[in-house]
Amino acid sequence: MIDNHKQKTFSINDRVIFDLILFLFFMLLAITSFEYNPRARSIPLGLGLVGSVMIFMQLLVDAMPKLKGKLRFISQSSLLDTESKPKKGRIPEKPAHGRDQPLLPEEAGSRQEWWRLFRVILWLTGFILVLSYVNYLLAVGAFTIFATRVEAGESWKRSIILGASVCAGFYLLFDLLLGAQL
Amino acid sequence: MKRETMQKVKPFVVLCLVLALFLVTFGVNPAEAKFPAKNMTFIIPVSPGGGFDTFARMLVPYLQKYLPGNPNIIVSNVPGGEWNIGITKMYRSKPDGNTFGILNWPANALSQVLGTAKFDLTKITWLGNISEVTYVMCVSPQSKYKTLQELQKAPEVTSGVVGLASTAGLGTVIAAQRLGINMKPIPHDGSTEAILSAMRGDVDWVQYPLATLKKTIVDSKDLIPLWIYSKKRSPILPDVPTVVELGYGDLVDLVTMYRPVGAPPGLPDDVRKIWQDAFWKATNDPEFQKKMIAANEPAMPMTPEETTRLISQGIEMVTKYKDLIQKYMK
Amino acid sequence: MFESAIPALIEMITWPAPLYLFLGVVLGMAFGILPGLGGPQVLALLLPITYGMDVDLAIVLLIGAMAAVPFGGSIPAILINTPGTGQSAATCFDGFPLAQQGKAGMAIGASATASCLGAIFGAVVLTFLLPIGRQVVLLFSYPEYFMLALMGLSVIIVVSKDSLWKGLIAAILGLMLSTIGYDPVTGSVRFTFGSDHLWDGIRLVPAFIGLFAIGEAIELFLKKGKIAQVEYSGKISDVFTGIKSVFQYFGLFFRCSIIGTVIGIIPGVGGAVSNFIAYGHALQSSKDSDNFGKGDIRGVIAPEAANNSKDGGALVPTLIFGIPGSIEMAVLLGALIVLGLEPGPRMMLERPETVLILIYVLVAGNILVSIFGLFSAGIMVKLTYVPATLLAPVVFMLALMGSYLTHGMIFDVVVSLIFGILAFAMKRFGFSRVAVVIALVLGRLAQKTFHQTLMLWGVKGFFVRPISLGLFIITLAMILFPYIQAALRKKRGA
Repeated sequence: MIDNHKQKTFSINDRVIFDLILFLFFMLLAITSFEYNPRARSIPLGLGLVGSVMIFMQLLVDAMPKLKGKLRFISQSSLLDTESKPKKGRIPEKPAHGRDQPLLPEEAGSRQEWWRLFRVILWLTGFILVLSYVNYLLAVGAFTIFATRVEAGESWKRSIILGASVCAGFYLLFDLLLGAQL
Repeated sequence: MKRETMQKVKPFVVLCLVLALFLVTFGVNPAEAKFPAKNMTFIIPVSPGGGFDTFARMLVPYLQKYLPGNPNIIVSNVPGGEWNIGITKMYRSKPDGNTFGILNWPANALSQVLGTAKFDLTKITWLGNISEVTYVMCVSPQSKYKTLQELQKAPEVTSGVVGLASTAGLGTVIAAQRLGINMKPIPHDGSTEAILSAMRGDVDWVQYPLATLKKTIVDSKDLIPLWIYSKKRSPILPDVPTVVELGYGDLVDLVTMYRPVGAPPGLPDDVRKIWQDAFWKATNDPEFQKKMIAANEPAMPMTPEETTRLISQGIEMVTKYKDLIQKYMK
Repeated sequence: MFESAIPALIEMITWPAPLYLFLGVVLGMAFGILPGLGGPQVLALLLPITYGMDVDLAIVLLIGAMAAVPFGGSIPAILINTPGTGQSAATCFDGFPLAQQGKAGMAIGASATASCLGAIFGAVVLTFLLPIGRQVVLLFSYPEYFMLALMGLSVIIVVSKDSLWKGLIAAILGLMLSTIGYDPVTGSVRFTFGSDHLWDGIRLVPAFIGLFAIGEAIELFLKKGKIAQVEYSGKISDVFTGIKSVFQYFGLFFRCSIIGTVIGIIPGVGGAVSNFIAYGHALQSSKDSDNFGKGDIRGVIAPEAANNSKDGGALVPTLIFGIPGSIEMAVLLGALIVLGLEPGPRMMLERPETVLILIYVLVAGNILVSIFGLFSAGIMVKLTYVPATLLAPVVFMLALMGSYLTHGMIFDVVVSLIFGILAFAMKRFGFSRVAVVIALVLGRLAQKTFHQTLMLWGVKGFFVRPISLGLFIITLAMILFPYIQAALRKKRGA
């Protein structure tokens, strides 16, 4: 059983940041919708406001674990409270269907993982730049080689082989076989 | 230590050299394209399959025939933004005569008149026109109003339109005002949905090109044609009166669509002359004209001067109705 | 039309048609398997090749490719949790856990069978419906479309059963995203912030690719080790178990085939989400649904039946009216028109052999690709033993190139990347991606028809027409059913 006293009352973890981003997004759209005519405004405004309220409450629950007990409907599984009984300590979240299994709080987004994600995004951005300004084969080859070498820690040989084969595969399929205009 | 570092550096250097080689081969741009290039691009600012796409593609072999050097013309569909993305792409491409595009007239005048266009239609190098599209006004068989007089007296008539940035939409709005019909436009996602709505009886009025509606009017008799926007009756619908006969002859010019073709502004004079000459010959080619008639849309070649005049007239007309259009966009 | 049944069949067997069929199926399967590439891309790329070809042969090639895509897409869904195409996304839910348990063969067997039979079901319905399809499609007007969209949206509630609050938030996110762009019905351009590219809103194909392929690729990239946790038993009997299971749960298979076909028939309702809706139905209608998400074979049968039967259904409005019933149909329609065909009542009268060949190829293509799949299952399973970090770059490349290829716009690639990051975050924090997808796909339809109904008839428009009222009641029943069941159980228990 986790000792509630040891935890901070209000903690900002990555979960809270994500909630905040969603909240800002909803608010942004709700506010922008005032620029449009009433009919166009109706649905985005309504949804934006409802969404903002909902995500804000989620944010509170994620930031202040103590609230989980009081606002149980946010974590519970169904509208009617027919099955779930209050559990002592934390209420673990059941995974949502569709393999969107949230990590337990202890695992959630370690710094290292976010840093790796950031690097992946950098690589992909590089890929997109090369794709738009140079040539797609080069982009594909370069990305594969660098991503495999640097991130996966594979040897240069393996990386270049993989990069070259992916390049060749694409060239075969798109340029030769289908004559695509890229 | 040294050997380790050397081992790490060597493959890295090799990789850099390979990359440099790649860059040189693929990355460096070829010299400025001469006209006529081996490959030219015909930009069609809508998705494949519609009237513009079909007739543009039909013209391509004849353009190739009359352009010097028998170039390969690649058709590039650039849909999006109600024609704006494609037109902008053509407008901004190099004025070397190797890129050109088709436009939807007078609908494409709307964004310029409203001030949102990223191009200036008067600066485009106009090459000519492919055809003139005649519109037919139809009512639903389930509609309560089946004659012009009934429509004029009706408290409200619903019409199926796609959007005001289309010639059909613009035409409906303008015609309603001119004819004194109290019209409420019901917007749809595409012309097929709007036509379906009329077939179901959900809306009273739709008007679209004759070629589009022919099968619904003549073959399946799902819609009732009331009048046609042209000076003479159509041989396909001999019993349908023209707006001229009904006393509203000025609507002919207001509700007719054209398919002009243009190139980016600033084309060198010699290139422009070659192009306009070739385009005129292509649209007048007897074989091409026969194909267009078979497709229910006779060709209507126009000289560059006539095309330019068409453009400025269109801009004038849309400007005149700007307030009315904006009222409907609220 | 049926008089041409035999001549059309003969034409399909005459050389070189079988060669084109084979080529089309191989290409379609390849595109289906490669995440990021799918129906729209293979059709868009085959289209220029078909110019100048004999029309019937072109149809064999194009439809052959299209038919092979859905099953192709389910293979990586099962093996590496990355759907080859958006319509196979739901197959991941139970297919991948099965692969992890070393039962990939069973999943592939069930998938191949459900796909093939589902496609046949859809084709049969198509054949009999075509003559009367006009009346059927004309029965549906704005209120009916809205109710259908609503019904589709209500599946979100079923699918987010274990985290309803977050599921609803995700749904609202999807709905908000669907409002971006030019909306002809309200006549306004919303939330584009000046970008021309957002004018048409968030395009579905890049969004799907981002949410499923890129999202998974990021997972693969960050994971260490291999995918399969268990040694593959390599038994052929595994595959047969899978095949048998479709007949074991024939009722479910049949119902999901109906669901897929109906969703396909009503144009624009979202063939893209037919697999989720079928999965949701399977969840709801199964008494012991606890195993769903952990490797229940029913979770594979349901979506696989639906995503194939929908193709048959989607051809109904496409051929009869020229309104595409799904994303692939939109591209196919363009292809048919460029080939010189005129989808509409005349095509049925003037070219019945072409229509029949189309249907035959749909069936033949599916049978062929299922056979390929079953035979190559063993080889493909080996993929799960490749280190994930080697797979990741390849999946990334395919996904991003797939995005680029659909319309040739870099913007789509950026959209995919953003959705990929969003998918990763959503997975980490327990928000349902399925909810976003369903809402994104159905959002536009729901809003459009909502406003159209109000404009023409006001609020009562939804409830006076029999079909729309009926659909509304069914939707309510679907949502409330589990709660009514629970309440009744409580009463009995007390």
